[in-house]
Amino acid sequence: MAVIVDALALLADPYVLLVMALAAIYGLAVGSIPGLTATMAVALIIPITFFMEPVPALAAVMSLSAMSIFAGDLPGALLRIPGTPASAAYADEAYAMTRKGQAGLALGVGLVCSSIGGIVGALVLITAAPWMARIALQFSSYEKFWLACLGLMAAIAVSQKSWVKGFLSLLLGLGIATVGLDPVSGLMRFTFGFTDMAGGFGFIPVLIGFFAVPELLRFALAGGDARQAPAQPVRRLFTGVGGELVRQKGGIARGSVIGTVVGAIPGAGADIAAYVSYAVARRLSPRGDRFGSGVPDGIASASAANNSSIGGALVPATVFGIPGDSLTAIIIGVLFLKGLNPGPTVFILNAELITAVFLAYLLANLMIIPFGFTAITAFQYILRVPRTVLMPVILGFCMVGAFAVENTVFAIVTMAAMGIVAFALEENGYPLAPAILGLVIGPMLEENLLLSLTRARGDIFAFVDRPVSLGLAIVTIALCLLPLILPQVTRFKRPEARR
Amino acid sequence: MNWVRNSRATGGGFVLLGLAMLAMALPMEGPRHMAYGPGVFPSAIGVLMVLGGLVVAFRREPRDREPGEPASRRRITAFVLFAAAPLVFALILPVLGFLIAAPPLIALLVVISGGRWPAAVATALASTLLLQVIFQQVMRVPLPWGLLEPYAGVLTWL
Repeated sequence: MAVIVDALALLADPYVLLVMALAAIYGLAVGSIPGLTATMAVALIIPITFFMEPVPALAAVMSLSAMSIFAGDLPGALLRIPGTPASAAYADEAYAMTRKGQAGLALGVGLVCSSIGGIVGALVLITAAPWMARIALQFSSYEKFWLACLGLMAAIAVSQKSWVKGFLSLLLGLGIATVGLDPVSGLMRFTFGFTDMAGGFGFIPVLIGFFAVPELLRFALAGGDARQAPAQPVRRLFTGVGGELVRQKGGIARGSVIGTVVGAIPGAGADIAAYVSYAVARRLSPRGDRFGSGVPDGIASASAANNSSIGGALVPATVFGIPGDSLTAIIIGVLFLKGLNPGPTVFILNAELITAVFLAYLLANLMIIPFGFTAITAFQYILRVPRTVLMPVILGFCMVGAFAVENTVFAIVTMAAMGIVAFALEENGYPLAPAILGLVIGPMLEENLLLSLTRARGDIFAFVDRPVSLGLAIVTIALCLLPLILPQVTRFKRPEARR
Repeated sequence: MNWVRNSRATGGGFVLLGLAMLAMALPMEGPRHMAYGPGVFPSAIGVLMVLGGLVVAFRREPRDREPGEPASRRRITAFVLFAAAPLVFALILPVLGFLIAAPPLIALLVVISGGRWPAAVATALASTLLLQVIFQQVMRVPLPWGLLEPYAGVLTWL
């Protein structure tokens, strides 16, 4: 309890609250612009947070994450263009309501449910993370190795289109992480004599390259200022929302739980949480047969799920240093930058600070309602900014942001090179999230692998000697084999395939 | 964007990258007291990359996307400019300085994106000023002054 009081005192600083408010406005603006994702918003703000104290920096990232995920609902409901992938699951449903003149109800339900889902996720995070950290303290390098493998394998398993491509993307991330000083022996690798590469590729330039530059290149190729569909007007916001919330209370609770659980699975992010929640709501709702024609049931459940998933994803991220998705991978990067090395010891060494971060996430979800209300009103103005102006300015921010963090033009070159590679990979159906997870988990995986091998004197059976490590190994190998087995099972079940 | 989509080429690229990693990692020697040197982990990545790359290069790809319209010359020019802009910026930034290097580059990008010159110039000047204020004045990032070095003192206080 004393820790929570101290953490609240850290958060009650007017400067921290102002930073959170500014980050919220920025998150709402970026998240509501179609094509600009929550991950990109966070990647772009890191150069700014780099120069802040840990509490305001991390509070800004938390506020931004929560707001940008909600803001994706705005263009989804009014233009049928989801602002972020997390809003894609119910964009059709919300737009169908808008066409029936119920835009206010669709957005109002989405807004309140996002806030409720986020609060549930934050409460789970505040209570579960320190409890899990106590268990994690018992882990040796063997368990840590399997946990790192589990995170990576889960990232591949959820690569929707091709697991081989997900695997190659992961290997690319791991390969990028090997550049620079070897974490065990301290020797240089793959630097080709460049002193700029001695510390490896800068995490932030790589992130900006991976998430912002491909969007800009796609915009350039798609041609000029493609006319955007006119936004539908919003009338009577919040009218009927109260009654709808009472009717949907079961769906909201279910969506919040699904989001938290799915979010905590490494590799599954807010978008998967929203899709799963929407599918479950469709099956269980009494109005399930009318889904797709504009009913608020799917919106309530799925929007609660996508916001609660961040809280869930932050549990393994802070306790084990294993990100749930690319957004939490970036948050882990910021934690490292601010000296809060994720892992069970962070709850002992920096208990107030990490609790302040969790409380900031809780506060951000409370702030969604007033800020979201304003954003819905202002949204039609945000959409008027022409892309021809916006995209070059974003590239300017990317270049200066990359330079600012590393203080060398090599960071700009890194950003450009990674951006071109990421663009080519995405165009060929390679998911980018495994590469980022590989980049984050790579050093931890290598360190624990070599440490375990040295301790075991090369005996690989030592990796499955302890019950927990054996359990983790079984889950990891099962996840690894799942993409190979599932297609065979599906083929066997289909009668036409057997013929 | 059809010219970018080629699974054989990306698979082959991964094979080559994996082979290069192997060639560089295998000869790496660690300190004498350590059984596992700095080359072990990258070698494993290299082997897996070669195998994965071969699978992608030689398997039949399901066609999940219809081939799009061929890109016009203007679009390709815009793409090349957006891709090359950071590299050009990295080259001219230390020489010309941020305040001179950024505006023409941003203005050119606005025009090639389909904007008009007056809007491009206004956007370039406003965004350069905004970036300068945020990064240099507020966050104390030492953005290079370049040719404006003699006036740095005056400009800082503007």
